[in-house]
Amino acid sequence: MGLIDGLTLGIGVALSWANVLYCFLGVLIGTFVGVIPGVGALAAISMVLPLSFYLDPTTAIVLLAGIYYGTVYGGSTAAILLNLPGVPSAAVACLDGYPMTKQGRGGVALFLTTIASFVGSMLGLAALVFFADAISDIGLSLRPADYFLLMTLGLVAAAAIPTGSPLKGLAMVFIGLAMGTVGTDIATGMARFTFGVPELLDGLSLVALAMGLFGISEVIATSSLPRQQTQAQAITLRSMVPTRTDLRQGAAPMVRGAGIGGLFGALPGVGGTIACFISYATEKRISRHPEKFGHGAVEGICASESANNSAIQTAFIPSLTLGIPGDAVMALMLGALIIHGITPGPLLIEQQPGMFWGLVVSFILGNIFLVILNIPLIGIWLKLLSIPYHLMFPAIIVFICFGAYSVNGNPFDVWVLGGLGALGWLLSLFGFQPAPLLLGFILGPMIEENLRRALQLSRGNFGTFVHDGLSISLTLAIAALIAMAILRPLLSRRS
Amino acid sequence: MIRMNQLAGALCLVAGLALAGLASAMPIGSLSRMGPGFLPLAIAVGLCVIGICIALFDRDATGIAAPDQVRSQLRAFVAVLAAVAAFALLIDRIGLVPTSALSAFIASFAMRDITATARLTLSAAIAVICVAIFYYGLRLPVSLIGA
Repeated sequence: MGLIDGLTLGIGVALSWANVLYCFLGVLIGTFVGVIPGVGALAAISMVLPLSFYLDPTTAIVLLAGIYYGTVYGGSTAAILLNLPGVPSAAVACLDGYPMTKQGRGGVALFLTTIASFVGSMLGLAALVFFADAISDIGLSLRPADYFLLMTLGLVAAAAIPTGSPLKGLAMVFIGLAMGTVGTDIATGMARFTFGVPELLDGLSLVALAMGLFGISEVIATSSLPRQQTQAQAITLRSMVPTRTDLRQGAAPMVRGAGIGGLFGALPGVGGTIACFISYATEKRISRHPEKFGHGAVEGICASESANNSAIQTAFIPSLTLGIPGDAVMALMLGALIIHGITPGPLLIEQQPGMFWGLVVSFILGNIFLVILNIPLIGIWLKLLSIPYHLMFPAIIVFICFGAYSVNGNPFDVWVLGGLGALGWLLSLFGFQPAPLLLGFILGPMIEENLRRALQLSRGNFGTFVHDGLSISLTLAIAALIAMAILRPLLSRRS
Repeated sequence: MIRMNQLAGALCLVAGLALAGLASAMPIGSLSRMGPGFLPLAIAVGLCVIGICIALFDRDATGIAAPDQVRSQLRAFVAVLAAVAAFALLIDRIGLVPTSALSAFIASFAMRDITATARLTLSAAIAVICVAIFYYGLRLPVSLIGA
């Protein structure tokens, strides 16, 4: 489908009343969650997940995606004004945004990050539209063995690359894979790890798992913290107007940031946070005044925010064209699609053109909403920072329980929610992070199916994983990441 | 910190061994015809290996909770889980309104600096919101009060 036809179709889908409404609702929730410290994008998306089952699948993804990119816009607000990153990826915005606030230029920083976010999103979206068809075509020619390797690479990268211990990331992937095998084995019909409980025949509930790991444990960790009394300085619209120099200095970093973010966003396991740090470091290196960085450099906030948003858009490339999610948020969205009966994969764009193009147009719409929410309406969010938002925590717990209960109308899922929440919290005490577990859980059944088919086709010959250039390089990349995960702690001990 | 990592590794090893025990009760099959126990057994072996690696080599202290952090979160942990358990036990027995209010009340004990009046008001408010969203909004098939 050509660009014009696609956009025409997409406008028709995205501008329906329901999709406009849920797109707005999504970015509104996203901005709220981003501004409020303590609740992240994953927690918010898992809480909305059961509600999204009531919606049409396209509308559901419009809503969930809106929350995702909305948190990034909102996350920079608290980072700039209060030096509190609302979401991890906003940590870079603190570096130069907060110094700008102390210089009385907080308004300008908010304006520039919003514009940078918009520019980054649009450039990332352009990359998504440009590459989606081509990558889908490649996807059609891939063998089950290649899919197995690609998914494994995604899992290993998600476990080994982010901060923290790569070994523990791998352990969480294995635990997630094990949880994914609970239920009836698709190929043989045999019940696995169900212990005679009929509710487990369909597997563990994705909703209960996601809300347990991200909702319950986050509330436990944050509600015990003493509340920080914060008072953000008032921002007037007039104070947001940047100077001509600001705009000139910010323009090129926005474009470079979008490029870096777009590249890293499309790679499995890397994602926005790392793209932010890399684009910030790049700007600092090529700048003629690197000493300005950390003291309110416009280039720093523009590059990192643009990278962050661009990465979110391109993260949809592998998810929508190959059905392979690069991070836990994407995995959750694909999980939602699967529950709606839509198989993500290379045929998705061909079979569901309305969904793909509708999403593209809704991303444009959502980003326009976000610019409005974050520039003229910024005052509302600043007020929000001063309300006692910790009163939300009991409400979150009750909503989560309703969410788990509502899927099957069965209290069993609420027990699963509590059990997995407790497990997630206990594991977090040892430094285990929950995101790789979720990714393993969602990818597990797909990995098993592809592994089984690959080995069936090759009659049990492992040569199928080193069959051609692509599979050899994928196998080598997986081996290198695992070797790095095991060797990194050994090397760091010596130094 | 190092001891926490050894404990973490041991946990993985125990989980891996338990999984291996359960998985080996199922047909493993062959490489070309994988049985239902094949992948679980492979996962179990992987988990054991990673567990041993964590216990032996891992020196990374990122995210490991300090003892006082654990103590301060323990209260929230108990309150939140009690709220979830109360919800699971009561929702089909006493209905939406009392369950959501009671569950919110229990969950509010996760926070320390809050008066009893505030806890009660908050629970009532949450019950009202839940009725609006889940009973009238999403038409959840559950009675307002009573089974």
